[in-house]
Amino acid sequence: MSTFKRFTRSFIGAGLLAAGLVAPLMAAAETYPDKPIRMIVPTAPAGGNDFMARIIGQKLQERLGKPVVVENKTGAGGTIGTDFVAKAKPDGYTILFGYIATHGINPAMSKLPYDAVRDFAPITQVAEAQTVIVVNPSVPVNSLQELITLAKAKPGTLNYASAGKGTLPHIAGELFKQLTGTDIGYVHYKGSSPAATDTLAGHTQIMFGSLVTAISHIKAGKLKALAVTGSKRSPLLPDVPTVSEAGLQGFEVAQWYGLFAPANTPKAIIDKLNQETIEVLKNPEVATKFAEQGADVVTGSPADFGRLVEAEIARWSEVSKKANITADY
Amino acid sequence: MELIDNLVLGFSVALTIQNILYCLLGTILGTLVGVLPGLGPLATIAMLLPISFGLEPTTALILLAGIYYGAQYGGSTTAILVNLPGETSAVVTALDGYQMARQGRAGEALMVAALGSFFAGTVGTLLIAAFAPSLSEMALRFGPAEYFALMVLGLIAAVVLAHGSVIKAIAMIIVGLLLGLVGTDVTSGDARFTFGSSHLADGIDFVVVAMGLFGIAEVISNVAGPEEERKVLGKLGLWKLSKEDFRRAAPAAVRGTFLGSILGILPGGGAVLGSFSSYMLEKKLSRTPQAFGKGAIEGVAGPEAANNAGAQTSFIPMLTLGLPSNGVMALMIGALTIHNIQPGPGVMSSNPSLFWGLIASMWVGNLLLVILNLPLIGVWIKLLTVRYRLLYPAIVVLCCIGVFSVNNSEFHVLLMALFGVLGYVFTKLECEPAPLLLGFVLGPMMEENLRRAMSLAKGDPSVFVTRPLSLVLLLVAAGLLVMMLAPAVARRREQAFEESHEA
Repeated sequence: MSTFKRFTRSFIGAGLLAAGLVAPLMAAAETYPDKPIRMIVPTAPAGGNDFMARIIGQKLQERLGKPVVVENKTGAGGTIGTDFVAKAKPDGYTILFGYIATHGINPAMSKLPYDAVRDFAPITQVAEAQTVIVVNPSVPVNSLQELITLAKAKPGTLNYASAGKGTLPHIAGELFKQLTGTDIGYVHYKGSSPAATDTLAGHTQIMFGSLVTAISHIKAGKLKALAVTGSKRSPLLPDVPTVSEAGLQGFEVAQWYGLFAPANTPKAIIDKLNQETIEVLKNPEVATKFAEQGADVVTGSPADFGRLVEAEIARWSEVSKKANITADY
Repeated sequence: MELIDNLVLGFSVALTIQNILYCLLGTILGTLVGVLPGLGPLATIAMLLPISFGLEPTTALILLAGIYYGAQYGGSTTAILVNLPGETSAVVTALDGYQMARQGRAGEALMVAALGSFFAGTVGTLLIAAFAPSLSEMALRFGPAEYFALMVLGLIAAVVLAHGSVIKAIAMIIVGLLLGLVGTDVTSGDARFTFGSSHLADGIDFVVVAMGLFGIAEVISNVAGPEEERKVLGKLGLWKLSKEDFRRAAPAAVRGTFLGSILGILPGGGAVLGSFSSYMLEKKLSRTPQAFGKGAIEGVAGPEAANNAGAQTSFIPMLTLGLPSNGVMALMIGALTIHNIQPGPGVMSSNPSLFWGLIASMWVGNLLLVILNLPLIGVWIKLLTVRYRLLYPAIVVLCCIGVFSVNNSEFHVLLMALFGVLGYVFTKLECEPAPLLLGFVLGPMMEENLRRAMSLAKGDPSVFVTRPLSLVLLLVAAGLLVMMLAPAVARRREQAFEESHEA
């Protein structure tokens, strides 16, 4: 309801503005879209992001009546594709499937060719996914508190597997150490699969991994799940407590995803994309498919999403400053 | 007999009309993209993935797997005919395969590659069926220290790839190692040698280097020479394998199958070593090692078998642990999750028809490939009779398309051109690019695992000799090094002795 109000208001606002100042842009917005839209996915094909982007793209295409072409532009931890959209023409025909790395963690710790806030017009958040804290079964703990006790009793003996410097599994591990005052080593891998491999094998003991990566191993008893990091338990693991239930406050960490357009895209187009995407995500079929990827649908206004981006950048800046993490791309 | 029951179940799934058709489609598509230089299975599978959403999960996987091993077959075809290896493994095939083609023996080379691959594929399929679960448990024992030791062994073996000067081979390996440094350092996150460009942040892609150093450089060399020289290539020789060929190729293929199967199981990318180690082994065992690099049939049979066996067994960590050992396997995992099947230890019990159906279809696919490829050999050879001035623009265009498809980036196409020029210079200097490529592929893996092993051991280097597997691998590497140096040392001593006599 509030979305609808905001939408009407902004639509009128945009209309008034356009009538006086930017009549040609308004004309463009009225007929939008009249050609195919490119949705850039800055991560690899067949990953979780790609999969969600393709579902949204397909349904969006049915509603807008023009093709929505999903294109993977990978590289440099998402920076290449994101930078491409940052510098694209702000006409609504190039949009980005961004996520916590491109608009939360990377801007917090790296010098980037784009500005995550100034160069983008947020459209809407689309989903968030839980992270789960897992340990190799050889680690003699059965709860998060026991893990913290063990790490304190034997400082420097445990290692967690990170999916690479500045990835969520890394920075979540650092946040965990800061919140609990424990001394746990980290080992970097190229991506979450090899990190999970070595945690399964027991070369590393702990991982702050995505639910999708870990779930089959948890169910097979090859990894022990101690807590999920969302505010609610996951329907995929109903017996595993949340971090705050397990007694650790301030550790809510979610992998989030959303759509962005280049800054200065006409507001009417942003609002249209926002409304249409929200409609797409109301489809229960979409929610089911997202749930299979361990993700829940979350939507909001462009402004809501913009606030999330700024809050996340601030949060991860603090964590990375304390842990002294920086990286270049 | 559980194994037989399982295989019966598998074949009942794989031999439905629909699955046979998709398997055939996959292998044809795979052969096609394999033959087109640079356009690899990764790009093709990524493009076809959305289509597979609409299929049954088993059928989708059969299609994608068909593309994967079809491309392995096809890739060796271009490596042999025009010296264009599209993947790491085909680099080795190009060494002797292309020389055979130049001697008018392209038909024999292609035939031995096809038969060797089929044999290896059959053994690989049986291995997966019989031992997949226990093998995957073993593969997990390979930690960072073991991978490091394995890479050291691989690099030392790389010297064997060269048939000219050892010094030059070592120099090329080092150039390869240096090129491998480009990109973001995994441990520190720092950008190395990227010149501030985010296009280099992930390092240089293998396809870029291989297409440049082999494909483009070969085109430049050929265009630089007079056209008559090429005629030898077009000779339509009789391409029946002689008894002598068979006697030399068969044991090589068996050994290659064995090596490739074992290395393919390792989820950390051991598979790239398969064809290299097979080549090295054959050269060491051969009574005529000097023939290698000049068209030795063992140098095609062994590595081709190793490569295909590894391609099959690399499904083991994917299917039983849900761990991808390469980019293609990562895509397959994606395809499975899209169908709401979580790849991992549960697949075999929760989806037995998918698991065994896929395995049975691999054998069916390998059979289809042989049936498909043997008659095609004649067609491929005819292609060589096309005038080179008509052929090379096509090669260059296809290389560009292939490289572009890797990352949708024109930057990499320019980089390939640069490597083409570099490759031409190397040819003029008589430096061989194969050791460079091996250094380029193994270097980063070796460094990563070294640093990972050290940080796990809190900086204690003894970890490499206290872990038994790692120790064994390092000892083999040391032994190999001694074997290589010993003749040189002996010769120098002899020379010194003679000189002192003369004095």
